[in-house]
Amino acid sequence: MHSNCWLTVTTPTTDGTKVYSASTVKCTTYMSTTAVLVAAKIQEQVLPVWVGRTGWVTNPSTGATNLSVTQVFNCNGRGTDNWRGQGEGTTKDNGKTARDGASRSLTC
Amino acid sequence: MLRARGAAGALLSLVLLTVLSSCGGTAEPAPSDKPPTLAEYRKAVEAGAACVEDAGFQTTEIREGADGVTLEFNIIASSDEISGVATACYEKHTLAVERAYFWSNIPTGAERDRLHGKLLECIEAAGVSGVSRADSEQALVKAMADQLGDNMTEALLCIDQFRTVFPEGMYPE
Repeated sequence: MHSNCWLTVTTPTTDGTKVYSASTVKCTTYMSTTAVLVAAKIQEQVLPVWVGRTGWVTNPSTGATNLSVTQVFNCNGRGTDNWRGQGEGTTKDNGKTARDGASRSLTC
Repeated sequence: MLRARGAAGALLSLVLLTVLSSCGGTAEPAPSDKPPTLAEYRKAVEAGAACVEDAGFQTTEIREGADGVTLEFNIIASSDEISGVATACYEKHTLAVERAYFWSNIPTGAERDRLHGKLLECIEAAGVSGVSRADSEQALVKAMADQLGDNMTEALLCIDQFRTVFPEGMYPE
């Protein structure tokens, strides 16, 4: 991903029945290279590994300085588990960046 | 696979462990009651980034995260390429120090009150009405979901920006 853009992945949170995590790509407004895709995914820890509980949800654009998307997983009845978000961003120069969000124990 | 047996085997294992530990480059400190300093935490994040780079991936500079406490960097690659590497490097070099640093920087008293107020202002600015200091994090997220539906990303970013207000469950052991 172009160096004037930055990918952020939020720590998961819950309303008690669903887990939410958002990915955002923010680019410096005065630069021409902008975000064309952002993606978010939610993982649950099944010790010791992280397992994807959703696929990727994506938000495409023709070029944006601020591009976000939220992934949601229905965790109702699963009790207490460890969760994290994953994010991926692509900029107009076709560069990609990826990262994992911080982990969190949530009760659904 | 090398199998060590008896006392000689135990000694060999100890020597190997010592050598491997000294070459591993891990930034994790010995267990201590004293929380890591920002410099020690940064060193642990740098060690995580160096580990990712040693695996052949480029990383960005290290920046302060949205919460104003943690540090973060991006990896120049697709998620499929880095999934196992990023987790392994983070868990080996950074996680324990980050956990201790984060939990040593949770605001209390007037500072927490101030940040709580800022969190509610942020959520209201994102389009959610009727929230108050009495609301738990779950109640706030439910209000976001009920009122904003699929457009709740901006409000979710508020929770992340002020996550020291509701830190419960962060970095589970």
